[in-house]
Amino acid sequence: MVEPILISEMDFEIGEVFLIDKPLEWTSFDVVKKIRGRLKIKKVGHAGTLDPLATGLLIVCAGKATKNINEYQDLGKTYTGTMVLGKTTPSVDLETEFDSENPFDHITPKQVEESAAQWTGDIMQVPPIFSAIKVDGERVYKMARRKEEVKLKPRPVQVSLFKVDASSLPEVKFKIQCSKGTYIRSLVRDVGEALGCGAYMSELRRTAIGDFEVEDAFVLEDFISRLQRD
Amino acid sequence: MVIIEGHQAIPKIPNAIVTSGTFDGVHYGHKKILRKIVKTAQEVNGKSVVLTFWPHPRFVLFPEEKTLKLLTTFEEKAQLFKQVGIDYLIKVEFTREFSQQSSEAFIQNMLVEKLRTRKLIIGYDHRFGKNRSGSFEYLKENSERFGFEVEEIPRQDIDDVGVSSTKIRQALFHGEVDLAAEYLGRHYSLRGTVIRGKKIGTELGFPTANIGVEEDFKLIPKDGAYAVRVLVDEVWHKAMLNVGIRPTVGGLHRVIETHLFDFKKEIYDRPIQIEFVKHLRDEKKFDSLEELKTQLQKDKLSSLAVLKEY
Repeated sequence: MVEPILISEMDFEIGEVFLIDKPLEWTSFDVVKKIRGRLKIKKVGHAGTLDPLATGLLIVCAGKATKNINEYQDLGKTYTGTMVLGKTTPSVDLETEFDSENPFDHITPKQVEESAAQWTGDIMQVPPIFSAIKVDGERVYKMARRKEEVKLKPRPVQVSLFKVDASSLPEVKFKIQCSKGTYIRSLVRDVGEALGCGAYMSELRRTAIGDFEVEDAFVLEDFISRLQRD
Repeated sequence: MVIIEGHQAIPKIPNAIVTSGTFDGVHYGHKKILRKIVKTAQEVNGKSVVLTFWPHPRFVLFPEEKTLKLLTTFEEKAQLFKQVGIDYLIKVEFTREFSQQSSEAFIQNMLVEKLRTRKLIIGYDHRFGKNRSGSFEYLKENSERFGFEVEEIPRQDIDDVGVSSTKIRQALFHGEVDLAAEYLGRHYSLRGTVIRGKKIGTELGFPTANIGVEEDFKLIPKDGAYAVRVLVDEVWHKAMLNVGIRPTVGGLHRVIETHLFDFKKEIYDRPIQIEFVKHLRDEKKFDSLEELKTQLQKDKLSSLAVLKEY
């Protein structure tokens, strides 16, 4: 017997904060819309977008807690994932088609580790061209889709941990801890470029936001099905 | 800083270094404790946690006592905690029911289970739970059983700065906003919104913005005229302010109104923040509007002199 979560016991005056494990192929906003629909309240928002092809922890605030969303957004993030050397896509993930293929046989695990180390610490990072950043009032991913040239300025971010397991190349498993605003796709792109063969990201999961961990999160479907009015 | 209240999710805080209290005013003495938990948390690679109760326990336990005024609203306290570098602020709703909880139950529920406290650091006069029975000695004796260390900040370390929330309140009741500022380490401040007034000031050549303060428990300094700074849309302005019933124009209710020296725009319904810099004079009844106007001109000059350095 699954325990229901009673909407009537929620306190939107104080505000509620839910930890949700975002499913693959859902946008972060899809999750918000779904929860908003079930709770029947307008004020629902998330603290930090996850790309559709990423899974993992999404913090969702409802009611008055939406005013604290920035505080959650400011927290550091932890991710695990996989990058694959030797192929690239314009978006760096599998949202777009492969656009280059390069030999990777000469690359050693040690080189991958060194390249990751190079992108650790306080670094300047160029966001991916497929991102929601605006240039001249337009989202850059729209320009990227039209195949227009997009020039993005590097931004300071902090990568406090970039651990790689390159024991089964071309696949490289990684764990990253970083400040808010860090794009993991940029790190993958930059490691790939530094190695000269390019890389794309095949998998990404956000395991923590600050001290909030995905193990404590609700699986979205489970959360939705357990939400009850009384 | 993450604020957690009600049923909101509490994360697994690594090595939580916790303190607890009402911290009204967040003055020098409080900051000693707060800085200590931030520093200790850094040393053990943990996080600093402030546990605070709201509403102020005295409002709940002695609701008939209307005289207690507070130096800080919850939002103001939260902002000050954040400035010190606190990681988590846990807001515990203080109710009569909650006040009946034994210190043992509170410690088990909150400090042990939810926060997984590694170390609790409290001021010498802090007590937990029903009838404030959870003293430092009690915590110390049971520390092994609770599974966290306890440290008391001794009396001399807090009192040697000669600051207490009560002293600051007294200073403000006497209009000594400069003394209060010394104790607080910042100017005493209040927030409100601009409400519509009678526009008598405009006729006198001193248009004022009347300020409505939402929280009735917020301490308003003694009646009189003050040199102040006013924050509107993230810009500070030099100004003078009057608190009082305005006897010269036949006022009945206490009004807070401020005249900004370099500002002419209408700002109704906007949030503003006031910082009290200096008390200029007590409120008094003038025989004519002309006399009042002459005084206001003098007040303006004194304010500008006081605010020269800002």
